[in-house]
Amino acid sequence: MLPMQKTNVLLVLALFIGLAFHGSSIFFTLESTYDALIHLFFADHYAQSWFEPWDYRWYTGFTVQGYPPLAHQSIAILSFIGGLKFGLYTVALIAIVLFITGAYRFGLLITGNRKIAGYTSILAVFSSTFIETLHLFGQLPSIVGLSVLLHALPEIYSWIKTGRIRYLATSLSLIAVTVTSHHVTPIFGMVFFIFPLIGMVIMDASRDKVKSNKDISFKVFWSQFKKLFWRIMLFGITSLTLIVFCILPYWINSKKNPITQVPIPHGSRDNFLEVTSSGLVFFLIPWGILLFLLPYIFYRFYSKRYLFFGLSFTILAILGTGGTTPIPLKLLGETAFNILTLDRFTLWATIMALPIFGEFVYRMVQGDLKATLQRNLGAVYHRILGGCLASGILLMVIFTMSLNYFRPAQPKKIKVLPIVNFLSQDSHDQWRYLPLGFGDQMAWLSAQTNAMTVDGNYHSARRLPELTTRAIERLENSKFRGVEGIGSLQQFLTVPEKYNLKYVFSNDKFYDPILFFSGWQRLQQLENGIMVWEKLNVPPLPKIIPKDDVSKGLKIMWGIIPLITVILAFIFNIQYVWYRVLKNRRLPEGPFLKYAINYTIFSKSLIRINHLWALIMLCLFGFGIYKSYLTNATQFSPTNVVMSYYDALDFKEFKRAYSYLNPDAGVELSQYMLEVSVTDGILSSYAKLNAIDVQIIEQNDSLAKTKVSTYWITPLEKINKVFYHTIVKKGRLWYLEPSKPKNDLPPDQLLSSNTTSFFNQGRRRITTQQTHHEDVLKQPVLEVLQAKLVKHQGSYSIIGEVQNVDDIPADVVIKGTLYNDMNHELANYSAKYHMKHKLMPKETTTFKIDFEGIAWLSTKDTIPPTFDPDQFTPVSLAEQPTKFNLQCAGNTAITDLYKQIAVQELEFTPNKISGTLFNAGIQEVTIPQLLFSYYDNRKELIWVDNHFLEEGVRIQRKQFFEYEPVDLSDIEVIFSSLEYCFINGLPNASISEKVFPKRDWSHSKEQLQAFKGKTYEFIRVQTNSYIGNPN
Amino acid sequence: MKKVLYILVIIFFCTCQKQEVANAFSTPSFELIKTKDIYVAASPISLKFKGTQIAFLSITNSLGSTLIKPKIKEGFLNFEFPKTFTTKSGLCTWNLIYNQKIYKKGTLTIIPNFRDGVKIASFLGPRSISAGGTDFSMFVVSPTDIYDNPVLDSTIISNTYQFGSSIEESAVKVKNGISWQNIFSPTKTGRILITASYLEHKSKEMTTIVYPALPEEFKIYYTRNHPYADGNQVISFSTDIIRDEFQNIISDGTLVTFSIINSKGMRLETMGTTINGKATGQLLHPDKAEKWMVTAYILGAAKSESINLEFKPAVKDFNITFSENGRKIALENIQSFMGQYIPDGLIVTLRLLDKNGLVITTKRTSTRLGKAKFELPLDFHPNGTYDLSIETAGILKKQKLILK
Repeated sequence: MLPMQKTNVLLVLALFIGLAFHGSSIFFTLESTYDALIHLFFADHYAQSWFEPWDYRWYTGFTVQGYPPLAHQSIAILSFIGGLKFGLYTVALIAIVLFITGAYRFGLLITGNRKIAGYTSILAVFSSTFIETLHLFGQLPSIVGLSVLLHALPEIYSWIKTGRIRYLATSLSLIAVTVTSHHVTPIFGMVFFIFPLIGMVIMDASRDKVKSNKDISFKVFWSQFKKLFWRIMLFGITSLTLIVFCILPYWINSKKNPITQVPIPHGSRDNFLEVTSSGLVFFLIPWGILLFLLPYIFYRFYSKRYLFFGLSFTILAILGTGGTTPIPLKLLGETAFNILTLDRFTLWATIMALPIFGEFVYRMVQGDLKATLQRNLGAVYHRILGGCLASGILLMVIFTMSLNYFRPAQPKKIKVLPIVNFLSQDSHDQWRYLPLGFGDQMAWLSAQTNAMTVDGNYHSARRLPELTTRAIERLENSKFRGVEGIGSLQQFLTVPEKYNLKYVFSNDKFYDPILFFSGWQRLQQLENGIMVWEKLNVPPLPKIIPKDDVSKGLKIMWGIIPLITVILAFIFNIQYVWYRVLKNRRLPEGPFLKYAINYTIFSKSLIRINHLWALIMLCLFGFGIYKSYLTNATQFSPTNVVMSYYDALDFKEFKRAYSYLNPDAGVELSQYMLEVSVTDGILSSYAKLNAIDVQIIEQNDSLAKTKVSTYWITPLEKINKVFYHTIVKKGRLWYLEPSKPKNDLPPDQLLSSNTTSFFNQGRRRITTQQTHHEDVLKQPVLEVLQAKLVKHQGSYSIIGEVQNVDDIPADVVIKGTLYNDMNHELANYSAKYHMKHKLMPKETTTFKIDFEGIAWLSTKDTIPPTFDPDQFTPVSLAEQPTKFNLQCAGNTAITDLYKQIAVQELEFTPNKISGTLFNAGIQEVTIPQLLFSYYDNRKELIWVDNHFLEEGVRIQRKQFFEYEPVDLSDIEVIFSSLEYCFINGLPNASISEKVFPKRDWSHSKEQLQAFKGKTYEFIRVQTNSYIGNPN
Repeated sequence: MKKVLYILVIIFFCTCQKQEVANAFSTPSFELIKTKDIYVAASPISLKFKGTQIAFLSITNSLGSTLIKPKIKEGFLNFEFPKTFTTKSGLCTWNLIYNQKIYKKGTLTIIPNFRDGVKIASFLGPRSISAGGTDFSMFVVSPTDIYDNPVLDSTIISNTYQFGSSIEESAVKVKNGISWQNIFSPTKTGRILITASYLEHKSKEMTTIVYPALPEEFKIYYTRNHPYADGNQVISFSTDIIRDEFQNIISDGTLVTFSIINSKGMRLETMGTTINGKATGQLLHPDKAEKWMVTAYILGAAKSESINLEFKPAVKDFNITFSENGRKIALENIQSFMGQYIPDGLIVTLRLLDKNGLVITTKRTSTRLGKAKFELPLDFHPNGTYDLSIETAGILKKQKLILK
């Protein structure tokens, strides 16, 4: 009997530490990663209906055949034992083991040295790229795929080298597992891992034919290539067949539903020098300590044996730099560049470098490098260097692990149970819902409920053109995509009827104004603090929802192949596993073991070069830190102090903002905080600073006057606001002069107000039955007073005026449809901001319906490249709208009925309307809105415009406004008629006749204000108010 | 292949033969044992035929058809109707079928069964109407037996409705299973309760609310603490009790718009919603002398008479003081109508003009304790002569300013 093989202590140590470290920390990191919960949702899908690929819960329905299922199905299978999260963590633990052992085997394959392989596995445990992929990104399928690929590599090597068919079987079985867990890994793995591996096999085969490495000539190489050609081909063809066959439904689905999604910006495509945060996450962290060893890595990779790995490594490293250099774009082409996330190239490059790193550490710890260093630079220096390396690795580990703690990528953990309960109560799940501000936790919410949402978290699977034409990740976090994100969200909120969208769960008050002004109302605050908004007049989901079905064969393939590949891989490889565990028989040595080299002399010039390189890197780091200090040195210059001040305001760090104010100005912190706390409004409560431009008007040694142009993104519109600041220098630092607080005193200390409040019982009897007919309130009756189709600046709008003629308050939804001469429908849309959505009895509002992107029936040629909520894109239509249909629906409104905003003063200058609003009631108005209606000389309505005030109006106080009237010189009234206007489905004329037979038309004409403008003679100002925190 | 062919041929012959056999039977005879023609719903129905062959009975009522098998006993075929057919009132036709031919047919009448109980389904809508007698709610009653069979046409249903102190009753005939009645609104507001009864059975109570009709002309008043334009007192406008043409107080929450025209012809606006017919709107006093004309509207329906009011100037004059170099400008002693300091917050506007009359700087501040201060730092305003204008409370002061 042969002696037993020694257990590799380093590998055991790596597994032990790896499981202890990663295995315990995943419980604190995995759920707040970007991807883990998405995979959980997919797993939930399989757990519920294993063979049905259609899931209705996201994107109005999508197919899960758009992502290889192995990881998801594994979680699903395990979830039957201990729930979804048990499955997730178990699969994560398996992934950790697979990765560490995979790294060991890859190290062994590359270096042929068990010691080095052991070091490689230990370094793999602490590699910042793995930590980031697992604990920050949560890309489980990717890790599983890559790890299995690493396991496959030695088998592929053995097959090509020896030609023994069992190796072909083992390698193919592992390739199949890789494919079913991640589709991109094997495809690119083929190119970047397997091709160089084949090159290395041929190189080794050539080495066998000659005496030394130097004798390997191209001729020898070529002859060996020809010799091994058929093995390579056999492997190539069969593995390709496997890649196609194992996830055939995926390929068919990709062919059938090509990804129409416009590119969504991803940090990995940024220029890392410009966007330093992306540079940190997608370059510095994954490379980590390896950055200092690049010369060694390149030197080793460009030795003859590893030449192909060297090429592959170089390409991967370059591709991973994203938009920093133009090369990745040129190499990949526009399409691939915009679809792929380039961080995976860095991931592969760093994983590929692991064995070389292992080799380096081995040589440093117990090899020739140690000897050389000690001989030439002394033992102490060697120790210091070793200590630096070790602390560098540790620093990167701690930094990467803590990144999520200091810069959370996700909102705080949300308790989803109250939401799940809400959705299952009272038939709320008969409508779609939309979470806002949930981050990736929306996937966890979706997994918990059967209710459906229009949003989703896997954007390749989207089908709605409203989503695929927008470069936004999710509607849920649309504020981070600026104007375009908000624009996309607006479209869903304006016509929610189209998607049966009735409930919005808002975890971010940023979205509240857009919800309110699109006609939504607050329903209740759940116990977890989530505000539920609802929209009236939305029909429930139909009982039957269409889906894209696929053949039964494909469904069965999808359902059983992935797990079969795992079982087969087990069967083929299990014997080895048992050998390894039990050590009862000597393992066949991998043929690559004999190519291990003896590390005897470490090149001195390499030491020198690497030292130099490390020095350069240190200098670069130092320079970077100094640079960021200069730009962030808050009071270094007038520009810096202004920037810092606005940055502090944007993040609501008022104490910091206060520290930039002139300490001699006599404003105390408590006074400043008080002043801040009493300002409310869209700018101070709902805006996100998008850009800031500081212009110095005048400056001398001690004083500067600056003009600060700020660009804010608010949920409603872009706001550009200019502020002027005087900056003074005290000592070496610059300070802002604080602005004076308003002296305006409200007249009354205590005031009372009587208002009528309303309550709707809803379902009076506690029953799960459909609402009793006697519990259904009558829809309030409205009357359209005028309605017109107009054309202004090339786009069409329906304008008009509507009155609540009932005796109860009404929530008003106005939907307009455009027709051409042939009565062919062209577009339909609902009124958004240009109306008051809540009307008291006998109250009127003017309204305007703009027809936006998705309104038009053919979306192709009408969608503007980028959406701007303020700016309207004219639509070039072959057909001219000539008439319209107006459907108004009233529903009993019981909230948001505040009408106490008065117009206190009004002043006209030729190009400006300015005035003062006064809040006469007892609720603080957060966002006041003014509706300006324009009338021609016959007092006929020709245009409606709106204006949001940037600051709120506090109780019994005034607020100034300024408004620039629009130029209506090109206004064209195309059609003006009440013939096709309908109220709650009934013709407007019949209502007018019955409810308001003796209407006095002079009233509305008397209320017009003469104001001469371009083609208009009169205007009317109406107020509307959003209350952020109703009492 | 051959085997399959044989089997097919055999099967073919078998089937052919069977049909021939079936057709070869002689004409059978069936005789109905006479029973009654009219049944009460839910009572058992059975038909008895004399005959030997096994025939089937096809029965059809307004809801559908079925085929029933007989029970054979001593040369009689006994068909028992299933419960779903015996409980459905109306005509029920039957056909005795044997070998795809009808041998006997007939019709039974099933009448509703009110002995077992009556259900009255009632519907009322709309649930709110306007006073005045033109608007109405429709009350629809559909009495049925407990098997959901409607009553016969011309059955009398008695509807009772209450409004105020009167309770009225009316009789309505059923037609096509339902009775309906339009309940026209009275001229007073309130709620009408309606119920229906048939035989001793009652329906539940239904309600329709009578809302007031459209508002009529009304009057408005104003209250204010003093007539001075200090910009810091609230003036409130209120209506008298607004009523409709039948003297009902209009519904709570009705919006009244107070439209104000000031001396410059500008339209200011404040709104109020009614409670018990009265609406109140508020504005601040202006900060300079004004004449206001106020009219209130309930748009399209009613309008008030206009009222006029005047605000006297609160601030008569103020002093401007300059520092030695002219760079600190202070307004002092801004007094209100009793000589007190004007309440904080009065807006003061300073304009600095160059020699050509162009505005260089506009500065705004508000008063505090009757004072307002401006500063013109050297860094931005070089020495020289300027024109200065200061405006507050409708008073404009101009003078030369020398900055040193």
